[in-house]
Amino acid sequence: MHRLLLKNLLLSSLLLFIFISCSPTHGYKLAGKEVVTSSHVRPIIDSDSSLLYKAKITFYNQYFSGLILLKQTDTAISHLVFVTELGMKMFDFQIQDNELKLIYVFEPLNKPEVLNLLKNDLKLIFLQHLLNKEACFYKKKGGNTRIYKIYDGKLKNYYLVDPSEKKIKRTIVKKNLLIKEKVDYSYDNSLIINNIKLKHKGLIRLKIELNVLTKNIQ
Amino acid sequence: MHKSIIYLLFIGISSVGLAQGTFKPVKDTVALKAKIDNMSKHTSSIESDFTQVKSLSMLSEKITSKGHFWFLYWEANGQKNNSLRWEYSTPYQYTIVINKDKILIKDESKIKKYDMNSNKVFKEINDIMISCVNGTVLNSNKFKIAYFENDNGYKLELLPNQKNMKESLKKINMYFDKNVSSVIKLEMQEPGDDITTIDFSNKKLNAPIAAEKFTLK
Repeated sequence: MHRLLLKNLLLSSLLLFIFISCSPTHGYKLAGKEVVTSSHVRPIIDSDSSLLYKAKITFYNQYFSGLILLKQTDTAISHLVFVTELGMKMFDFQIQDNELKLIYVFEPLNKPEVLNLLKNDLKLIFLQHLLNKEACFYKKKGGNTRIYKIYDGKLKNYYLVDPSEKKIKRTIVKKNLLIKEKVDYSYDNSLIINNIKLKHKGLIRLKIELNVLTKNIQ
Repeated sequence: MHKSIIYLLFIGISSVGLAQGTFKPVKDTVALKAKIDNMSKHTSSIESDFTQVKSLSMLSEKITSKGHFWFLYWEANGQKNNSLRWEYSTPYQYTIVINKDKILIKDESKIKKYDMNSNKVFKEINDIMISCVNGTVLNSNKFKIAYFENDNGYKLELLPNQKNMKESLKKINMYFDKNVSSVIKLEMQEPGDDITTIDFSNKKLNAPIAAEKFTLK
């Protein structure tokens, strides 16, 4: 009996250690709270230009590719449009006040579960949970990364930011101590995000990859 | 008849001013259809450059893609077959081959094979594209077709009859020259008035095309 209890205690301690050491803020200290704006993190949607990305989506065994156009149409509204290589528009989301509103969807894709998944992932990719929201931020002594933590319902979103150039490096979404999603970003020399990779962990097998093709200055 | 539209889509040399001028309804549509039939009988292969422009009306934005197209009509064991290859070179390399009921896609170095019926979304898009290319669009009851002409050429306006298709496609316009020897472009208009235009140029007719063009490695 005593041996069994000791075994359980050891196992629990080991799991706790793994979860704590897997925490994105492990080794960081809470440094304060602030409303995150473009002065802290460079927004992906640029008011001066439209961005065209090549999109690759792998959903279970299915692979889709096409073009994503991201464009701000007025001071408060942006659009995110997905078009296949053959020219068919698959969906058009309007982004306003950190919310994505569906403007158009190609009828065979018009399924609530597909659209919700897509909407949440696109919100995550384009930092709509972060910008203009209040977040706790964490710093490490001598480190060059700042971590913003935001609660999104039952989810905890962690944003790893390079404060010197205001670049988002990675987003991690956790639920009940487990990592649910990860988004990685990389930039070109002119500070345009040229590659974005989103990957779900666990049961949902979904990957989204965006590679920048052109940036048109308006 | 199924080859008629293929012929219409890709044959021809000059397109100057084709889409200009006011189009009026064609009086003798029977004669026009007969011309189309007659010409299509003489086409076994087509090779062409294409420029595809996606105009997003709400965003005032255009996405341009370019590439090369191959079509081959062939018969085997008494069966008539069409094979297509769309090879995009701009904005990135992307190839799609439709051979019988198989769809092959090469994206970067990745090759994917699909059964035409296995992917509903893909099937929907391709049904529209292929029906324009293989001529079923004129024969099928999926579209109501109107015929127009101006001084330079003809325009076929195809309006979908089916409710589910109307949700994705408002109209297809096909333009071809006055001698019905040249189709200049294909326009697909979506319900939100976004338009996909495909212009064909540098066409070669009935030149031999190797069967390997319709496989991917």
